Amino acid sequence: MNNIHPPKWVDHLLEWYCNDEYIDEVIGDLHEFFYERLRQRNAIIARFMYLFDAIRSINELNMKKDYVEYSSSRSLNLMNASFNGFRNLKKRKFITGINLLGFTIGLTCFILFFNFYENESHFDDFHKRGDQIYRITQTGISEGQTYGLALTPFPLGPTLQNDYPEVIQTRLYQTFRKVPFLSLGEGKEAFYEDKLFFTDSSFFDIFTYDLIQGNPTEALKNPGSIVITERLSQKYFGNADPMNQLIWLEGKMPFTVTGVAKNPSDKAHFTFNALAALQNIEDIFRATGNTFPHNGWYWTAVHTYMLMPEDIDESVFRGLLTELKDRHLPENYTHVAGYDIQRLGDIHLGSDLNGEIQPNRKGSDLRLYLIAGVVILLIASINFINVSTSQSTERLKELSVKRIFGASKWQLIAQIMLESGMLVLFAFICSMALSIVLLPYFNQLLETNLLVGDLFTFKACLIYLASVLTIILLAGIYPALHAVALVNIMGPRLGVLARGKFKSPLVRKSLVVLQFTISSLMIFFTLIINNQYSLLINKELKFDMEEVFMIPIKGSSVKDNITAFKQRLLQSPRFLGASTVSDVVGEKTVFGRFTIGDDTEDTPMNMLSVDFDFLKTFDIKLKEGRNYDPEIHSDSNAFLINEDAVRLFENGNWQELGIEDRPVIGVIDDFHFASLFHKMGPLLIRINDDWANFLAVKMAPGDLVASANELAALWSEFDKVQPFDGFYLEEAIQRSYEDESQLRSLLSTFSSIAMLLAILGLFALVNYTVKFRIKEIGIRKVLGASYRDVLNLIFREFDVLFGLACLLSFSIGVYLAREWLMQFPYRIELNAKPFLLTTGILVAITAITIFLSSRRAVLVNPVETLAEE
Amino acid sequence: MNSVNTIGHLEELILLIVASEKEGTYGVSIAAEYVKHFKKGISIPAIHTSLRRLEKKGYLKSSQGGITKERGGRRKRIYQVTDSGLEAISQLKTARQSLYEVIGQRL
Repeated sequence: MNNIHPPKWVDHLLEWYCNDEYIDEVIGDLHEFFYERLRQRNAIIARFMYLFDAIRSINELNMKKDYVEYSSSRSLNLMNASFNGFRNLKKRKFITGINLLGFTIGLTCFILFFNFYENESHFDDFHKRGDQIYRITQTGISEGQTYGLALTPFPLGPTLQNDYPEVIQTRLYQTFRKVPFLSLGEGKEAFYEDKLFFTDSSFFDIFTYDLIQGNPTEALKNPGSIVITERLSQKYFGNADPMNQLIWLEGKMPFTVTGVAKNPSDKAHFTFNALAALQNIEDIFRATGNTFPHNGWYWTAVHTYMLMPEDIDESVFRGLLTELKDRHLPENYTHVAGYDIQRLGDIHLGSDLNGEIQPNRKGSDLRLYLIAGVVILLIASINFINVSTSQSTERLKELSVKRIFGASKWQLIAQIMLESGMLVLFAFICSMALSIVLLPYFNQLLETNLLVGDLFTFKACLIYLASVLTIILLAGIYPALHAVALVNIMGPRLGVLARGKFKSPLVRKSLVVLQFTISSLMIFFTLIINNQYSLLINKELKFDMEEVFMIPIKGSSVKDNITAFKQRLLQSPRFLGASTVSDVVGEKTVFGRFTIGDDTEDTPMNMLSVDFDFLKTFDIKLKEGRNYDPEIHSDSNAFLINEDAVRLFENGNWQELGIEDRPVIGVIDDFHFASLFHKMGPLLIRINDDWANFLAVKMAPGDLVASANELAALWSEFDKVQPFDGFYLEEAIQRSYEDESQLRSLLSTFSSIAMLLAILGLFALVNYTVKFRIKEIGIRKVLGASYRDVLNLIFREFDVLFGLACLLSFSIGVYLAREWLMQFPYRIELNAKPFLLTTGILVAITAITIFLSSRRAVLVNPVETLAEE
Repeated sequence: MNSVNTIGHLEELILLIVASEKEGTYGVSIAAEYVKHFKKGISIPAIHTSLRRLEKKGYLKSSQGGITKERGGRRKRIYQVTDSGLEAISQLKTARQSLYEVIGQRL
């Protein structure tokens, strides 16, 4: 308490401002009040109110005498100046319009992306002890490379808590490779619930969620208890009281509702709809069609969170985890390099491990968006600087008159700045309105959920204020200084200009180069990302995913009667084939470790468990050997491998060596069994009914909806409890490239905006240049210059700039594109095409702009232009 | 003179508070009194503004007061009501009183 003092800088401000007579009173009284507030409220409020009061104390009554006089004379001027400024803005409607448009677009981008950034970087901050919450991750080793895993083995948390009782841990388990369904019992409607977590009773000790009903410390204590959200309560129980009612997991295992939680915030790296007690694990597993493996430390299936004791350092704790690993992990578990911790606050932005609960935001993308927003604002400011500078000669008469009548240099600067200020402020109001209008589209584009209220938080408003002031200062100061410098040169010689001296100053030229560099960089990048995306989407995957419908069958009676189901299915002409598969083909697979031939060490291979009809259903080509044959009984023990796996066998002798003492009967084409983010590796295919997690059904082309309906009808004949569910494989595979798709649509939007702004700027600039040289052009024309000669003259002023801009942007572009493409194992080659295309687009747009904006001036009869004086 | 020196509502309340302290008073204790009597908060800058105006109108006079630790070594400015201040109060009171008496029966 004793250490908290009012902010010093505020006092200095007051000392600088206040009249000596009152300074003691003002600061003294404010100090007393500050300590009073500190006693009653807290430091934040006290400080804030102190600042607020101090600002309010800055009024004329407390002001130093000399300021008072100065200010009253200036306040008259201010009225005058704003009036003048308004006149000036109104007079040049075209230029004002362009600047206004530019700033509005720039500020809108900035406002939206700043708030997006702000929103995303405050995920998970509603937990009371958030800075003590950590997630434990596992570092695995595979083929000599380490990789992070968000999932950990079941025993890790309890062992940790047992060894170090000061740590509180909780585990989150989601049913293994299955979306579970809940119902109120037999005959009642069942729903798939993907946000059901099984967790320890310590959940509420770590995470802060409010319970409307039930006691957080008791709710998950007993086996078979479940806490549901308000949303879920409404869904299953309507307005009835859900407490102590039964909810059935997969129609097999009853859970008693012991609490109702307030709907959790979705500003978190995971949200839940229901939390069930993680006890009787074997029963939960059985109910959801899994068997609980006994090799507890081997299998990573839960997310482990913990509350770190306050007095332990992160590095010390990492040491404890290593000790724990050495003590408990069996020695032959060489696939585990160790355990690590992650701060809760770091998860949403940047954690991209295997087995995340839901995909997190890429921190780098987020920063990229913010930078893009700022860059667009920068382009708008450059436009403004260019345009206003070229305008400054036009207002020399006005400024000179003012100077003659005794206005100081600073007053003129202030006046011009005021005009810029008015413009920016007005643009800001427009962009605020535009942001609100665009918010729903923005949310859709970025899959976020910003509310209008989020745009007006205290912090956001401060940032707006700061950025508007910065823009006014940065974009306003150069044109103002420029104009005033001209007045000084000219002195009172009204309207007589030494034109050559400031035709196109270096600053302006470099700004144009910068602007076009940015625009072409953005176009270039859009092209690159577009190409890469279409490569990902259109790459020949070497298996047929069109019209393939995937049905999750784990735990259903369909799985138990799969042969009968398939038989019935194939009787219909709507279905061409069906095969069970363990994973979503083309999305991901699991790793297994296998002994090849007589090797002493295991080899890691991707593994896919299927049935006899796999190759036929997915139309995968056989390269060597033979396909599975249902007639040959021993084939259910045999393997197929892909071409890539052949190299793992000594001398490629797969026919004789076999795997795990079982025969390999064929080699299939290297089809892309996992997404293109992963380099294709060796694949092993086996027949295994236990791993039949999905049934892939190849539908005949035509009415797919009717086919799906027929599937659903057939399903309900076989399974009356579990609801029918499924998805088209092609859509699922395309969804895995959503990040790239998002980046692509955003960047194309950005580059269009940047280009548009650059065009606007160029348009105004050329327009001005031509106007400025209209007499010259007239004289040239009188002396016999053709229309083309004149156009040439104008183009020449810009061609060097563009050459420079292209050169700059391509060298930066190539570097950045290389970096970005590194993350894709399957990537496009950088060739000349995007460069040429970018240059082409730029040149075409520039030429058209220059042509359009100068046409009228060039075509006009020289007699008219020259007759002016 | 009287017509120029109109007195605002807040100014009046603060004038009353100052007048009620015979020995004189200063900003923070005026704020405390204000809260006590009128059951709502007030900010220091608002009080200062009123004090400046009242002093300018000649209803208050001020003098330097003592230093306390909480004030960061700053002197207090002690305000006392002047005779013309008291007169203004009594004028206001008379004006109001006559109206109160008219309303009187309905209160």
